[in-house]
Amino acid sequence: MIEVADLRKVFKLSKRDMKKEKTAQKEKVAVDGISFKAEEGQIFGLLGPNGAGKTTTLRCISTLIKPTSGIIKVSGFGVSEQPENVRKELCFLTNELKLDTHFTPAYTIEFFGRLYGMHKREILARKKELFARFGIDEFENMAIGELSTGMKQKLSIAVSLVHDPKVIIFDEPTNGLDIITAKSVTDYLLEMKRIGKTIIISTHIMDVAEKLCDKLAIIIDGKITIEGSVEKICNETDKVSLEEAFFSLYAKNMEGREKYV
Amino acid sequence: MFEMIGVIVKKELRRLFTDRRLIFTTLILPPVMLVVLYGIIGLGASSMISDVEEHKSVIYTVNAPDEILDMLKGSETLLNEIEFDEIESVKEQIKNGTADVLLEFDPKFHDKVTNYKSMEMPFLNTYHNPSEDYSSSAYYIVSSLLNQYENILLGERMGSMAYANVFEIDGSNPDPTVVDDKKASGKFLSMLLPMMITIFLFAGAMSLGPDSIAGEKERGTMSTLLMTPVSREVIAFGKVISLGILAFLSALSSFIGIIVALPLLAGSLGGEMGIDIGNYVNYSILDYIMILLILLSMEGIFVGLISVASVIAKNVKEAGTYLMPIYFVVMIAAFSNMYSTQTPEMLEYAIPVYGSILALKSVLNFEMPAIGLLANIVVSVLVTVGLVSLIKVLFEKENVMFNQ
Ligand SMILES: Nc1ncnc2c1ncn2[C@@H]1O[C@H](COP(=O)(O)OP(=O)(O)OP(=O)(O)O)[C@@H](O)[C@H]1O
Ligand SMILES: [Mg+2]
Repeated sequence: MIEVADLRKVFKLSKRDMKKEKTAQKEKVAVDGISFKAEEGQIFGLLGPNGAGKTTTLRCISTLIKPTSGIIKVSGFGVSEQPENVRKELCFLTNELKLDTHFTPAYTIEFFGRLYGMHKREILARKKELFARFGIDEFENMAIGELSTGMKQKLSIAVSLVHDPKVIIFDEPTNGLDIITAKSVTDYLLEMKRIGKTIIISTHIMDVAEKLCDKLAIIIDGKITIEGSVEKICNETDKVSLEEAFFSLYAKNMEGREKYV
Repeated sequence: MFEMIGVIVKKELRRLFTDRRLIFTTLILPPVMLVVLYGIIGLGASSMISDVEEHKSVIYTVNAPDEILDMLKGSETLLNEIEFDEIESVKEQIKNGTADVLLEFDPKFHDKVTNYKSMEMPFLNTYHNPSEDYSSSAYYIVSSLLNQYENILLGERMGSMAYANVFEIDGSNPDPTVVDDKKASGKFLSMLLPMMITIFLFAGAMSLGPDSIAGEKERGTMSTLLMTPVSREVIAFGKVISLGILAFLSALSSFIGIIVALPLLAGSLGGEMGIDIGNYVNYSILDYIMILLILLSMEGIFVGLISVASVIAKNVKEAGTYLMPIYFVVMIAAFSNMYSTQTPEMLEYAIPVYGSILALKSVLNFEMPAIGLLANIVVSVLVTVGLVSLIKVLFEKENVMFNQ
């Protein structure tokens, strides 16, 4: 289970960042006080436009970056207090995390297994299972650099799952994948959900959110505007589809913003 | 914790040893280059010397007295007697290297020499080209012949040869150069080796460090590592230790290159300086241990500096720009030590890097004071510890670790 309470993340902007973002402000509030709970056996989705703060939230949960304020607990471990235990509980999947292209899949998974404190036997058993599941076994002794993009992506997933984590965090799970690979990834997530894993994904694709998530939080400008199942969101906004609900919420948010300015 | 550091170090070593390109550029190329380079310099120098020795000097004379001609014929030279009006063309030949020496004697040389009481002193003009090796060596031969001739004439004037020779230099001395072979070799080695080892050590670490830290950040593999339950401290230590090992191996391979190459160089240059490369082995185990300690503690500083620069940098290229000035400073420290001959002050040993090079030099010269060694190693270790703690702090900083 993951509990996020009043999470805020403020980035200090360097001069170069300020130029890039075309702003005179020295700080960027990427996540502005969000709270939610993701339960076991459910897929929780963070849905939002570009720059809403989805990746930042997931990185805070994964302990890659530290929250400016707020509390995050993963299986009861606080991210600031016991980051190592948190990392044992979860895996974080994203395009940004890469594997050294020089090594083979077999060596890579063994190396990471060792870093998770696993024994060689355990690792080998897990490798066999995961590589068979993702169809990597034929390629396990090739250099990673020689694998196709889809195969690399699958390998990343397999490697992150080596320690059989209770929590799976996946930033944009289908991004950049063809529909076949994308389907094998979403199928796997559903399978994991069925065996009781806690899963959080981020996406800006309505279709993915609708088909995959049991619960959703729509996040705009670092704030959660609505939370619940797709059905609940449609009811509350009085719209027939998630897409329409999203647009109306987004429009409302922009209105509110103009009032402030 | 140590187990995890071990896992990371093993991976880093595997990274290098399974990469043929990296093995070649860090372990094989540098020593091979050294051997080839020194071999060429050594061969060039010795072939130049023997070439000059074999060359027959081309000497032109105008109005030379018979005694001189006989003496010149006795030495192995190509002698040409010419007329006064040919002087200019021979001078031209000397200038372009086809002739070596021209001697223009007074037309009445013989008369004036014999009737020295009533006549003025005869003139003798010599021409040679100091920018040509053949000409220089021919001039040297001719000058000594002329000196001998002058002595003979003086002897004739005074009635006996014995009056003309005031003293005899090394006439019956079989061994005029007195050097302590051990010290001479030490001097030679202590001039070159500390400088070279220092530069190799830094260059070795510099060729690997940026890639192992900044490169991992740039390629996104560092984040993957940071996602494992191992603490960042452990990752930092693993990186620093493996860099230390690899840099040492790379310096070692260069060092072996020098050991092979030095005889090639010294064989041609050193022979005359009384240097016997066999004297390497004159260093005792204690000397080697001191060298190892100094090197390891200095390497700590290098690896620390290179790691700090590589952690701060966004990518390999940026790390390179940060490291260039540091490399430069290390080179200056190395070169400034090369020719210093004074016995160093105790405090100089306590200057990081500079002191280490100085200490290496002192050990190779058989004059390392124990306090200096201690001061040097303590300072180096302290600086290393400081740098490693800095790396630890930097690894915790998200704006440093994720600054892509
Ligand atoms: N390290 C950083 N320094 C400064 N600003 C940052 C940093 N990381 C993210 N931001 C800013 O914080 C905001 C939220 O970014 P985030 O990556 O969380 O968005 P996102 O919801 O994942 O968007 P996307 O759909 O584009 O991936 C953006 O405006 C981004 O520019
Ligand atoms: Mg994102």
